[in-house]
Amino acid sequence: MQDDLKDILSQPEGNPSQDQLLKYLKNELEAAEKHELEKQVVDDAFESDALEGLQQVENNEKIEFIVDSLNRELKKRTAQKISARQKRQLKPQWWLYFSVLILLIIIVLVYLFFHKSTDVRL
Amino acid sequence: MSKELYKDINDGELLQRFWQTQNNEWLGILLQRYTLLLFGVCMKYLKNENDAQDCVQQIFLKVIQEVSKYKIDYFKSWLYMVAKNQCLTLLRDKKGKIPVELTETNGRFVYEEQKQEEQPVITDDLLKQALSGLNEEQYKCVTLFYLQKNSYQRISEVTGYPILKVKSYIQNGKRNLRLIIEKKIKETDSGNAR
Repeated sequence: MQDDLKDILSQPEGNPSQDQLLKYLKNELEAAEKHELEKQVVDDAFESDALEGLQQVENNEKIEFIVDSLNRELKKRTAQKISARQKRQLKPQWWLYFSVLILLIIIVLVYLFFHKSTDVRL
Repeated sequence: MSKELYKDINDGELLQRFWQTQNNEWLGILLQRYTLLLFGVCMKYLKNENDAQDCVQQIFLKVIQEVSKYKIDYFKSWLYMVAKNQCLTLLRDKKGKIPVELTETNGRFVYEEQKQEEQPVITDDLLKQALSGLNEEQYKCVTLFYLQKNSYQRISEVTGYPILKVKSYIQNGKRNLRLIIEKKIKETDSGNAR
Protein backbone atom coordinates (compact mmCIF):
# COMPACT_ATOMS: atom_id res chain seq x y z
CA MET A 1 0.00 0.00 0.00
CA GLN A 2 2.84 2.38 0.89
CA ASP A 3 4.59 1.64 -2.41
CA ASP A 4 1.31 1.99 -4.26
CA LEU A 5 0.85 5.47 -2.84
CA LYS A 6 4.00 6.57 -4.65
CA ASP A 7 2.55 5.04 -7.85
CA ILE A 8 0.03 7.85 -8.04
CA LEU A 9 2.58 10.51 -8.87
CA SER A 10 5.11 8.39 -10.74
CA GLN A 11 5.37 8.54 -14.52
CA PRO A 12 4.94 5.06 -16.00
CA GLU A 13 7.78 3.91 -18.27
CA GLY A 14 7.15 2.99 -21.90
CA ASN A 15 4.17 3.14 -24.19
CA PRO A 16 1.72 0.38 -25.04
CA SER A 17 2.41 -1.32 -28.37
CA GLN A 18 -0.10 -1.25 -31.20
CA ASP A 19 -0.87 -4.93 -30.58
CA GLN A 20 -1.57 -4.27 -26.90
CA LEU A 21 -3.88 -1.38 -27.79
CA LEU A 22 -5.79 -3.54 -30.28
CA LYS A 23 -6.12 -6.34 -27.73
CA TYR A 24 -7.40 -3.81 -25.19
CA LEU A 25 -10.01 -2.56 -27.63
CA LYS A 26 -11.11 -6.12 -28.39
CA ASN A 27 -11.34 -6.79 -24.65
CA GLU A 28 -8.76 -9.56 -24.89
CA LEU A 29 -6.55 -8.42 -22.00
CA GLU A 30 -6.52 -9.76 -18.46
CA ALA A 31 -7.69 -7.36 -15.73
CA ALA A 32 -4.10 -6.66 -14.57
CA GLU A 33 -2.87 -6.03 -18.15
CA LYS A 34 -5.84 -3.75 -18.76
CA HIS A 35 -5.00 -1.72 -15.69
CA GLU A 36 -1.32 -1.55 -16.64
CA LEU A 37 -2.16 -0.22 -20.12
CA GLU A 38 -4.59 2.34 -18.72
CA LYS A 39 -1.92 3.49 -16.27
CA GLN A 40 0.52 4.03 -19.16
CA VAL A 41 -2.06 5.89 -21.21
CA VAL A 42 -3.74 8.06 -18.58
CA ASP A 43 -0.96 10.70 -18.47
CA ASP A 44 -0.38 10.83 -22.21
CA ALA A 45 -2.87 13.14 -23.92
CA PHE A 46 -2.13 11.73 -27.38
CA GLU A 47 -2.71 8.10 -26.38
CA SER A 48 -5.60 8.97 -24.13
CA ASP A 49 -7.42 10.85 -26.91
CA ALA A 50 -6.63 8.09 -29.40
CA LEU A 51 -8.03 5.37 -27.16
CA GLU A 52 -11.17 7.40 -26.61
CA GLY A 53 -11.61 7.82 -30.38
CA LEU A 54 -10.86 4.19 -31.19
CA GLN A 55 -13.51 3.07 -28.73
CA GLN A 56 -16.05 4.90 -30.89
CA VAL A 57 -15.37 2.61 -33.88
CA GLU A 58 -18.35 0.28 -33.97
CA ASN A 59 -16.57 -2.77 -35.37
CA ASN A 60 -13.22 -3.38 -33.67
CA GLU A 61 -12.10 -5.83 -36.33
CA LYS A 62 -12.14 -3.01 -38.89
CA ILE A 63 -9.49 -0.96 -37.09
CA GLU A 64 -6.61 -3.23 -38.08
CA PHE A 65 -7.76 -3.23 -41.69
CA ILE A 66 -8.03 0.58 -41.74
CA VAL A 67 -4.57 1.00 -40.20
CA ASP A 68 -3.06 -1.43 -42.72
CA SER A 69 -4.59 0.39 -45.66
CA LEU A 70 -3.44 3.79 -44.30
CA ASN A 71 0.07 2.37 -43.88
CA ARG A 72 0.07 1.04 -47.45
CA GLU A 73 -0.87 4.49 -48.75
CA LEU A 74 1.81 6.07 -46.61
CA LYS A 75 4.44 3.65 -47.90
CA LYS A 76 3.46 4.40 -51.49
CA ARG A 77 3.64 8.12 -50.86
CA THR A 78 7.04 8.07 -49.17
CA ALA A 79 8.50 5.61 -51.72
CA GLN A 80 7.30 7.65 -54.73
CA LYS A 81 9.02 10.76 -53.50
CA ILE A 82 12.36 8.96 -53.35
CA SER A 83 12.15 7.48 -56.82
CA ALA A 84 11.19 10.84 -58.32
CA ARG A 85 14.13 12.47 -56.60
CA GLN A 86 16.46 9.64 -57.49
CA LYS A 87 15.45 9.96 -61.13
CA ARG A 88 16.27 13.63 -61.01
CA GLN A 89 19.53 13.18 -59.16
CA LEU A 90 21.00 10.01 -60.57
CA LYS A 91 20.35 10.41 -64.28
CA PRO A 92 22.31 13.40 -65.48
CA GLN A 93 21.38 14.37 -69.03
CA TRP A 94 24.61 13.48 -70.79
CA TRP A 95 23.17 13.95 -74.28
CA LEU A 96 22.43 17.58 -73.43
CA TYR A 97 25.96 18.28 -72.18
CA PHE A 98 27.37 16.54 -75.25
CA SER A 99 25.23 18.58 -77.70
CA VAL A 100 26.23 21.84 -75.99
CA LEU A 101 29.89 20.87 -76.27
CA ILE A 102 29.57 19.98 -79.99
CA LEU A 103 27.74 23.26 -80.62
CA LEU A 104 30.51 25.22 -78.89
CA ILE A 105 33.20 23.45 -80.96
CA ILE A 106 31.28 24.20 -84.19
CA ILE A 107 30.96 27.88 -83.22
CA VAL A 108 34.70 28.11 -82.46
CA LEU A 109 35.58 26.34 -85.75
CA VAL A 110 33.29 28.58 -87.81
CA TYR A 111 34.77 31.65 -86.12
CA LEU A 112 38.31 30.49 -86.78
CA PHE A 113 37.49 29.65 -90.40
CA PHE A 114 36.10 33.12 -91.17
CA HIS A 115 38.78 34.88 -89.12
CA LYS A 116 41.51 33.12 -91.05
CA SER A 117 39.90 33.72 -94.45
CA THR A 118 39.63 37.50 -93.77
CA ASP A 119 43.31 37.52 -92.64
CA VAL A 120 44.33 35.88 -95.92
CA ARG A 121 42.38 38.44 -98.01
CA LEU A 122 44.08 41.32 -96.21
CA MET B 1 8.01 -5.73 -41.96
CA SER B 2 9.86 -2.43 -41.79
CA LYS B 3 8.16 -1.79 -38.47
CA GLU B 4 9.88 -4.86 -37.02
CA LEU B 5 13.19 -4.04 -38.69
CA TYR B 6 13.51 -0.58 -37.19
CA LYS B 7 11.82 -1.09 -33.84
CA ASP B 8 15.09 -0.57 -31.96
CA ILE B 9 15.63 2.86 -33.48
CA ASN B 10 13.94 5.63 -31.53
CA ASP B 11 11.88 8.45 -33.02
CA GLY B 12 14.63 11.04 -32.65
CA GLU B 13 17.13 8.91 -34.51
CA LEU B 14 14.72 8.16 -37.36
CA LEU B 15 14.07 11.87 -37.70
CA GLN B 16 17.79 12.53 -37.67
CA ARG B 17 18.28 10.00 -40.48
CA PHE B 18 15.55 11.71 -42.48
CA TRP B 19 17.18 15.10 -42.01
CA GLN B 20 20.57 13.77 -43.01
CA THR B 21 19.46 11.83 -46.09
CA GLN B 22 16.27 13.71 -47.02
CA ASN B 23 14.89 10.24 -47.73
CA ASN B 24 11.15 10.20 -47.06
CA GLU B 25 11.24 6.49 -46.37
CA TRP B 26 12.56 7.23 -42.86
CA LEU B 27 9.63 9.53 -42.32
CA GLY B 28 7.30 6.77 -43.50
CA ILE B 29 8.75 4.34 -40.96
CA LEU B 30 8.39 6.93 -38.22
CA LEU B 31 4.81 7.89 -39.11
CA GLN B 32 3.72 4.25 -39.32
CA ARG B 33 4.36 3.98 -35.59
CA TYR B 34 1.58 6.48 -35.01
CA THR B 35 -1.03 5.49 -37.61
CA LEU B 36 -3.30 3.81 -35.05
CA LEU B 37 -3.02 6.69 -32.60
CA LEU B 38 -3.61 9.28 -35.34
CA PHE B 39 -6.69 7.42 -36.51
CA GLY B 40 -7.93 7.33 -32.91
CA VAL B 41 -7.42 11.07 -32.38
CA CYS B 42 -9.20 11.83 -35.68
CA MET B 43 -12.08 9.55 -34.64
CA LYS B 44 -12.36 11.37 -31.34
CA TYR B 45 -12.76 14.74 -33.02
CA LEU B 46 -14.53 13.87 -36.29
CA LYS B 47 -16.68 10.94 -35.09
CA ASN B 48 -16.78 9.40 -38.56
CA GLU B 49 -14.55 6.61 -39.87
CA ASN B 50 -14.22 7.90 -43.45
CA ASP B 51 -13.54 11.48 -42.36
CA ALA B 52 -11.00 10.20 -39.86
CA GLN B 53 -9.18 8.15 -42.53
CA ASP B 54 -9.06 11.16 -44.87
CA CYS B 55 -7.80 13.31 -42.04
CA VAL B 56 -4.98 10.85 -41.23
CA GLN B 57 -3.91 10.98 -44.90
CA GLN B 58 -3.89 14.79 -44.74
CA ILE B 59 -1.80 14.69 -41.58
CA PHE B 60 0.71 12.38 -43.29
CA LEU B 61 0.92 14.75 -46.23
CA LYS B 62 1.31 17.77 -43.99
CA VAL B 63 4.10 16.11 -42.02
CA ILE B 64 5.93 15.02 -45.19
CA GLN B 65 5.68 18.51 -46.65
CA GLU B 66 6.35 20.53 -43.52
CA VAL B 67 8.59 18.55 -41.22
CA SER B 68 11.71 20.17 -42.65
CA LYS B 69 10.46 23.63 -41.68
CA TYR B 70 10.51 22.88 -37.97
CA LYS B 71 13.08 22.07 -35.38
CA ILE B 72 11.45 19.16 -33.61
CA ASP B 73 12.86 17.88 -30.37
CA TYR B 74 10.05 15.56 -29.44
CA PHE B 75 8.29 14.15 -32.49
CA LYS B 76 5.33 12.56 -30.68
CA SER B 77 4.17 15.84 -29.08
CA TRP B 78 4.66 17.73 -32.32
CA LEU B 79 2.68 15.12 -34.28
CA TYR B 80 -0.13 15.20 -31.73
CA MET B 81 -0.36 18.96 -32.11
CA VAL B 82 -0.37 18.73 -35.92
CA ALA B 83 -3.10 16.08 -35.73
CA LYS B 84 -5.27 18.08 -33.35
CA ASN B 85 -4.92 21.23 -35.44
CA GLN B 86 -5.81 19.35 -38.61
CA CYS B 87 -8.95 17.90 -36.97
CA LEU B 88 -9.98 21.32 -35.65
CA THR B 89 -9.40 22.91 -39.07
CA LEU B 90 -11.62 20.28 -40.71
CA LEU B 91 -14.29 20.77 -38.07
CA ARG B 92 -14.16 24.53 -38.54
CA ASP B 93 -14.43 24.19 -42.33
CA LYS B 94 -17.34 21.81 -41.91
CA LYS B 95 -19.37 23.64 -39.34
CA GLY B 96 -18.60 27.25 -40.18
CA LYS B 97 -17.08 29.45 -37.59
CA ILE B 98 -16.06 27.66 -34.45
CA PRO B 99 -13.56 29.51 -32.31
CA VAL B 100 -10.43 27.44 -32.77
CA GLU B 101 -6.89 28.12 -31.58
CA LEU B 102 -4.67 27.58 -34.57
CA THR B 103 -1.88 29.98 -33.85
CA GLU B 104 0.67 27.24 -33.20
CA THR B 105 0.55 26.11 -36.83
CA ASN B 106 1.74 29.50 -38.03
CA GLY B 107 5.44 30.12 -37.99
CA ARG B 108 8.39 28.23 -36.73
CA PHE B 109 8.18 26.67 -33.32
CA VAL B 110 10.43 24.60 -31.19
CA TYR B 111 8.88 21.63 -29.48
CA GLU B 112 10.69 20.36 -26.49
CA GLU B 113 10.28 17.23 -24.53
CA GLN B 114 8.59 17.93 -21.26
CA LYS B 115 11.41 18.17 -18.82
CA GLN B 116 11.03 16.53 -15.49
CA GLU B 117 11.39 19.17 -12.88
CA GLU B 118 13.33 18.33 -9.81
CA GLN B 119 10.80 16.77 -7.51
CA PRO B 120 10.77 17.64 -3.85
CA VAL B 121 10.60 14.71 -1.46
CA ILE B 122 6.97 13.73 -0.98
CA THR B 123 6.27 11.68 2.12
CA ASP B 124 3.43 9.18 2.40
CA ASP B 125 1.80 11.34 5.08
CA LEU B 126 1.81 14.32 2.75
CA LEU B 127 0.30 12.19 -0.03
CA LYS B 128 -2.41 10.88 2.29
CA GLN B 129 -3.27 14.41 3.39
CA ALA B 130 -3.40 15.57 -0.20
CA LEU B 131 -5.60 12.61 -1.20
CA SER B 132 -8.12 13.56 1.46
CA GLY B 133 -8.21 17.04 -0.09
CA LEU B 134 -9.71 15.70 -3.33
CA ASN B 135 -13.43 15.77 -3.94
CA GLU B 136 -15.38 12.53 -3.47
CA GLU B 137 -15.46 11.42 -7.11
CA GLN B 138 -11.79 12.09 -7.72
CA TYR B 139 -10.78 10.45 -4.44
CA LYS B 140 -12.78 7.33 -5.21
CA CYS B 141 -11.48 6.99 -8.78
CA VAL B 142 -7.83 7.75 -7.94
CA THR B 143 -7.71 5.26 -5.06
CA LEU B 144 -9.59 2.55 -6.94
CA PHE B 145 -7.29 3.01 -9.91
CA TYR B 146 -3.85 3.48 -8.38
CA LEU B 147 -4.14 1.76 -5.02
CA GLN B 148 -6.53 -1.07 -5.80
CA LYS B 149 -5.35 -1.44 -9.41
CA ASN B 150 -8.78 -1.64 -11.01
CA SER B 151 -9.46 -0.99 -14.68
CA TYR B 152 -11.69 1.90 -15.84
CA GLN B 153 -14.44 -0.59 -16.57
CA ARG B 154 -14.34 -2.11 -13.09
CA ILE B 155 -14.30 1.35 -11.47
CA SER B 156 -17.26 2.32 -13.61
CA GLU B 157 -19.15 -0.79 -12.43
CA VAL B 158 -18.29 -0.16 -8.78
CA THR B 159 -19.03 3.57 -8.69
CA GLY B 160 -21.73 3.84 -11.35
CA TYR B 161 -19.84 6.67 -13.13
CA PRO B 162 -19.56 6.40 -16.94
CA ILE B 163 -16.12 5.21 -18.16
CA LEU B 164 -15.24 8.59 -19.71
CA LYS B 165 -16.01 10.32 -16.41
CA VAL B 166 -13.86 7.80 -14.56
CA LYS B 167 -10.94 8.67 -16.82
CA SER B 168 -11.37 12.40 -16.35
CA TYR B 169 -11.77 12.04 -12.56
CA ILE B 170 -8.45 10.14 -12.49
CA GLN B 171 -6.67 12.69 -14.70
CA ASN B 172 -8.07 15.71 -12.87
CA GLY B 173 -7.60 14.03 -9.50
CA LYS B 174 -3.93 13.44 -10.23
CA ARG B 175 -3.48 17.05 -11.35
CA ASN B 176 -5.22 18.39 -8.26
CA LEU B 177 -3.17 16.10 -6.06
CA ARG B 178 0.02 17.68 -7.45
CA LEU B 179 -1.38 21.17 -6.85
CA ILE B 180 -2.37 20.38 -3.28
CA ILE B 181 1.07 18.89 -2.57
CA GLU B 182 2.85 21.90 -4.10
CA LYS B 183 0.73 24.21 -1.95
CA LYS B 184 1.45 22.24 1.19
CA ILE B 185 5.19 22.16 0.48
CA LYS B 186 5.20 25.94 -0.06
CA GLU B 187 3.28 26.45 3.19
CA THR B 188 5.79 24.30 5.08
CA ASP B 189 8.73 26.10 3.47
CA SER B 190 7.40 29.55 4.34
CA GLY B 191 6.60 28.31 7.88
CA ASN B 192 10.19 27.08 8.30
CA ALA B 193 11.58 30.35 6.92
CA ARG B 194 9.80 32.28 9.62
